Amino acid sequence: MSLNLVLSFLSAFIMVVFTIYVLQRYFVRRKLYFLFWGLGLAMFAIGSFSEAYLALSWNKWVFFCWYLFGAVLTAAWIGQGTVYLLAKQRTAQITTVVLVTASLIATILLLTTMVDLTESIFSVSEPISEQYQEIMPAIAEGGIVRLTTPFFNIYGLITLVGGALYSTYLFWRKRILPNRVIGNVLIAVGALTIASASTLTRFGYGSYLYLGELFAAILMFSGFLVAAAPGPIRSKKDSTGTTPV
Amino acid sequence: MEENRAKQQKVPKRTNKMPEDSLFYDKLVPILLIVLGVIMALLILIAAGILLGFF
Repeated sequence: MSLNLVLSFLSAFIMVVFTIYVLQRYFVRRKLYFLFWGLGLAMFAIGSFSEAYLALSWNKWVFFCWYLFGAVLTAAWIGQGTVYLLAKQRTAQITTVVLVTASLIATILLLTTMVDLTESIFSVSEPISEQYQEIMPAIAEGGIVRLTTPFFNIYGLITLVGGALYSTYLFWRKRILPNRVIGNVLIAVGALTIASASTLTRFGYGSYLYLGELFAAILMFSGFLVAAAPGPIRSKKDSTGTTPV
Repeated sequence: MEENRAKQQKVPKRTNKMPEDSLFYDKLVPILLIVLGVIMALLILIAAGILLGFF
């Protein structure tokens, strides 16, 4: 059993638990940001499970899931939840229409690419993150879906990381809700970890992706739990300001 | 009414304010915000560079 297999399964497991936790909150509170976060996290989990599978065997539809959900869509869909949290309803609705349309286009483009995969190159001895560029056709040779990834990732960076940093700044400036300051910092660091690992993968350093995914899963879930936790109980002394909290 | 007051006094209130004179919140958090913002901007630039064919 390879280390990458273990890391992928761990990431997937954490993300499944995280997804269930967030979607439960959606069904209770009916806030759309929980729904989009949950959908994005589910995509992350599907990507991680696919990665784990590809560490054992090849299946082109598992590869399809890995690339579509892991590489293309995850960041943008998680970020869309943050758009619903922070932006006006109208803005969130318009960007959702754009995101869904773009996601459908990316899915169709990837489907058309499936016939041009060089499956014979695949080897279980290497991580899929270090082989996918040879397996997929070049952009000029039918692999145009590869151009969609930067779009989604830029959008995900701006909305998810930018949103977390903006929230951190708001609470910090007002000197309130310290748990949300820490929680959003953890979420931002987690998202930047996976974004950095994905960028390194693009430049041929795919071995960092698995560890990056695991750290991202741990940090983002921790951040969410910290941000959602109630504040510490104030003692009688604390209420007078004589004892630090 | 007195019973309600007594109940309120027994239930401790949750504090939602940052501690005063905290090195973490006064210094580290703003530095973190800047550093993470710079990293985010760099990653966006790299992604844009990939899109435009520079990499």
